[in-house]
Amino acid sequence: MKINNILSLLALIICASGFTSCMDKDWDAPTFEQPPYGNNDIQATNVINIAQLKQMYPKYADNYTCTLMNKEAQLKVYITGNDISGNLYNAISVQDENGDALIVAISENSIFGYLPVGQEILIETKGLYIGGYGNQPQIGQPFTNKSGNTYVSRISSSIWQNSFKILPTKKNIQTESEQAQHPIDGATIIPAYTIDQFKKLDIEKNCGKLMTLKGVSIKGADGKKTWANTEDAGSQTSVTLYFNELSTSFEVYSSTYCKFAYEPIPTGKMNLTGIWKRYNKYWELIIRDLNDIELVK
Amino acid sequence: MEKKLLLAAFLSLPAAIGFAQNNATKEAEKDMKQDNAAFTFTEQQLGEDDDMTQNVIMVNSNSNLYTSNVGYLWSPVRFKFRAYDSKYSETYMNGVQVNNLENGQFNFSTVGGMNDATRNQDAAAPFESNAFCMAGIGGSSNYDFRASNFAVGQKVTLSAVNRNYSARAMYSYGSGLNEKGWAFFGTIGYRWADMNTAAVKGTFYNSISGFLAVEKRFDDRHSLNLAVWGNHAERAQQGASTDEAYWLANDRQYNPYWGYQNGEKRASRIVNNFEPSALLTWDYQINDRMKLTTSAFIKYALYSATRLNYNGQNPAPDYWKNFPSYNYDVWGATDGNKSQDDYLAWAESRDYWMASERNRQINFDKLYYTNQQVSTTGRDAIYWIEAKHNNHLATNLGSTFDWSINKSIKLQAGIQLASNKGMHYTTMHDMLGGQYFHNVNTYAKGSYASTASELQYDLNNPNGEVKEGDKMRYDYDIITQNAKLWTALVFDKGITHSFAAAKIGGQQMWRDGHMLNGFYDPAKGWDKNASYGKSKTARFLDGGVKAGSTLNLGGGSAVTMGIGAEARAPHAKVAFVSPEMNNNFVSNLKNEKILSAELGYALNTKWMRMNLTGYLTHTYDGTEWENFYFDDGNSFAYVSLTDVKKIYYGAELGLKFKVTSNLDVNVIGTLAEAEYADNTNISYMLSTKGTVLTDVCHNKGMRESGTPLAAASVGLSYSINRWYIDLNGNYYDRIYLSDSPSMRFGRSLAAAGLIENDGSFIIPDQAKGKGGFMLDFSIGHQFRIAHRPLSVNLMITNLLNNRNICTGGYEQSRSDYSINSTTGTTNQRTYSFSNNPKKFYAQGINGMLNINYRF
Repeated sequence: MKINNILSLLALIICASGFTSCMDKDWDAPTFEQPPYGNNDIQATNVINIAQLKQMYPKYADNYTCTLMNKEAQLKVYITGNDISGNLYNAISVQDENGDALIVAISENSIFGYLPVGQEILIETKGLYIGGYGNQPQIGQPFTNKSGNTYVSRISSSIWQNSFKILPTKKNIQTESEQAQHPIDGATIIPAYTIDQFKKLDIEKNCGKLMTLKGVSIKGADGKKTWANTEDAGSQTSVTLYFNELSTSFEVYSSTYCKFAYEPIPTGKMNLTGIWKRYNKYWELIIRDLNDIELVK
Repeated sequence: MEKKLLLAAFLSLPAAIGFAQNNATKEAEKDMKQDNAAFTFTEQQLGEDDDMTQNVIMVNSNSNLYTSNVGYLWSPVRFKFRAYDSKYSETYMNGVQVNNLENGQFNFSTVGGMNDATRNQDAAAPFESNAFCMAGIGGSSNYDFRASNFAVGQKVTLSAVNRNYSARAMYSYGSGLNEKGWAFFGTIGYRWADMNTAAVKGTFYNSISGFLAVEKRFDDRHSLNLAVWGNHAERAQQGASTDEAYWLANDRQYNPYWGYQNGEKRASRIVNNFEPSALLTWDYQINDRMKLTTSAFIKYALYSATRLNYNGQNPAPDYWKNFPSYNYDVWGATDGNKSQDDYLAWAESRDYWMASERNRQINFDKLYYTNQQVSTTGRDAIYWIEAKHNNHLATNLGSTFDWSINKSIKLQAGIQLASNKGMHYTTMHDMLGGQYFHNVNTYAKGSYASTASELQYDLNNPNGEVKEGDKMRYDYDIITQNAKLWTALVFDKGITHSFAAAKIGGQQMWRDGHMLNGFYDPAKGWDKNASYGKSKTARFLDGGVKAGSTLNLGGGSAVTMGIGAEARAPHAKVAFVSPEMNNNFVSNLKNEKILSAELGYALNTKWMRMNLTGYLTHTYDGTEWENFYFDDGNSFAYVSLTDVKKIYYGAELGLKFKVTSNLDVNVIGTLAEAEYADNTNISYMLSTKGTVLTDVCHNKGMRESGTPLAAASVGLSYSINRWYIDLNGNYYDRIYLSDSPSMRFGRSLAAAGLIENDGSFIIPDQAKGKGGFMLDFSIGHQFRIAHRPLSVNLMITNLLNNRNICTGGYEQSRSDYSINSTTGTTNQRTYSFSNNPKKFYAQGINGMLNINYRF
């Protein structure tokens, strides 16, 4: 037997093993000169606020009306609500420096991953549509339902990603309580209202805003009742709850698909923060996540 | 009769035997064909994945022209012999069975890249007698790893390829048996492709393999052989996608499993497989007529497969909501969106897909950005790459007693003992820039309060923080033990050559859970071993009988026949309801019964050789298991199919004409049927509920998938002066895609409104793939360099570049409607899952240049 040949082969195996390092290397995290989401080519050539946008397209809140925004104009806004728990679904809520608000409907999940609350963005409005959904002003794309009604619905992901730009600035947003306990300089404070104050709010001017309603409790809350279990929802995919202290014109909307659907509703008084949308003449509170619920001591 | 064949499945050797060629020429031709064939089999046709959905039987025969050629010829379309699952084919090494006890399959990656070591093989078609077992219905093969039986000398092989890998190099050395009784054989191989050279975009291949065998013959009676080997393979996978995706990408090899990170290509699905093995064999020649062969085998298999997972927006580029047809109802028949605006959205999405390759691949930068954003608020990563591990430790012992009672009668008997510990768990592979992750069931989050035990994957470590490399979701072992006795009697009488064989065995299995899934909280009344710790033990007694005979009618004619009956214990892989969650066995678990028969006619003359075979196999009481996302339950589901009845039948033809001394014409063909013979009982568990539901799956008539059920081949084989030219035209048809059980659940059919006026269900047709014609060509020559043979061979597959042949795929387990879980009412979706099965297509023109030199 040729021992040398055997030894050579063994040596070859050992050497070759050393050369065959893994191809799937340890990957370094990308360095982001620009965010990988959105369209970084959008230029701030004609920056407008929400009030100006509404002036440009007066049918901004009309139901079953989709107006194509055909003028080049960039809306500068910051995120007030996203889909972090899935209750605000396929949508974000935004406000501008004046506190005016809009909903933007987007056919995506996990928007919260790249548009956290407070993030400032530019939206190139040209090419998108605006209209009312239950008279709630909303930016989106037209959708025609089986009844032949067209209304503003979700923007496809590819169009949306081409229509906004993430700005390098981000606002700190705090509730009154948070500001009192852990104040952040320059933070934007979420407006908070007592029941009586809230009743007097103009729904047309304030719908879609991030606001706090103080000192309320939920009808039927018994420590077991949950925000949106499927049994309560019946044939719907959401549950509408009402306040003990207010009429049925004030609702709490919760999706059965949201992450806190099966959390029990606190029985006592609460300060409830969230996006206060309108559905025609009704106020509709969308709680963003469980942090929006503050128990009143 | 021991048949010392080389990898005869890959050869047209049997037909060549009868023809006058000099030995050197035959060796050279054989050598080249083996190289090509071994490449084709081990790297292209056979699934190398432990969790493979497509697996192929490497059947073989020394006497049947069809069986010995079919696998090699039709490997480009992943042809499966008689459409059987590979668990019906038994693989042995020096007489010890090495099929994985847990799933019954043999993973060819175990011996990948060591072609010179795997040449020596005995083989048996389903009804052929052999020296090592009672053959399975898919045939059996026995590798010979004895050092003294390998070719003497050195050999270097270099290959340039444009398939899974781009280059291959192999070296082997065999010493032969020296005067002191020692023999040595070793081989080493390396196969390589990176993401710029691999034939399929976004894949790579990196494999090194080594094999060493040492044999000591002590005297004429005793010898010991030790063989050790291993093949470490790391490779990126290709994913199936829909015809819409292939159209948008303008590429039938479009692969959705890769993307860009920082401008570099990155694969998301990477298989890492290393199965170091050792085999010790004692050959004992008791006397001239008796021989005892005993082998002990041990293997520790490491297998992991990564995948991109998420808790939010599905990052797959071919996620259904990303397709143009999600926006507009392109199928017309459904009640989906059809407005002008919908059409514009369709067109916009189409343009986005077509605008840039980056738009249709994974954007890893976005995943990192998102994870970094959510980490700043202390939230868990939304996207991550996890690795599914299926490791196992196998120990096997096989002993075969061979007794030539007289010239006409031979008796064989054997024992096989096997134990397998399968270790299954998932680890966090890469958090993609995320800082936090917890071992909780986020999919169940919306259905339970945040404090509910049901959200915990491991109640023994609730809310456990997971870092890269840590185990998550599930962790369990499955232990399977098996013992089998078999015997065979082979005898010649008059014009007959016959055999009869029988086997009896026992199998036991149990699960050992290492995590306590929150759905089985002992505080809520569950047994403390419902999920954690050892399950009960399931035991099965199985066995079978088989007989076959060849009647020599004279004049080269013979009739062959065989019949068999068998009961097979279910494999552990299908025996548990939801092994990732609990210890429960599938109810109604029992032995699968198999009845099979075969009748054939063979003709062997000077100018022609022919085999014509018909077969029929019926299986009863089978058990199958699948898991997938089940739309109607809005949850991942584990589905058990029980009382499975299947029928397989067909005809096979092999024909070889010798036109001249240099030119052969080969004809191979089959027409087969392989389908569920009846509807199937199902039970399924939703991963977000933990409860078992039952139904009937209306899958009667659904056919075995991923293989042509009709195929024919005509080939010309020309050889002269050490030149070898082969031209084969192959036609494939009746290619079915794997049927989705959930599409045919009684509840699903009712929800979809697929009910006739008389109350019977309307069963959706099974999705099919296109067949077609493929032309293959090879040319080779053997040179002499320094009096040593240098073989050069070029093999070109799919010469006409037919990219329309589907090689397999599956129906999507999603519904064409969304369903309200409370009321059961449905809404038609615009996107049609039923019209969008996922498919694989045959590669276009491809080839291999192979050079080997013996010295």
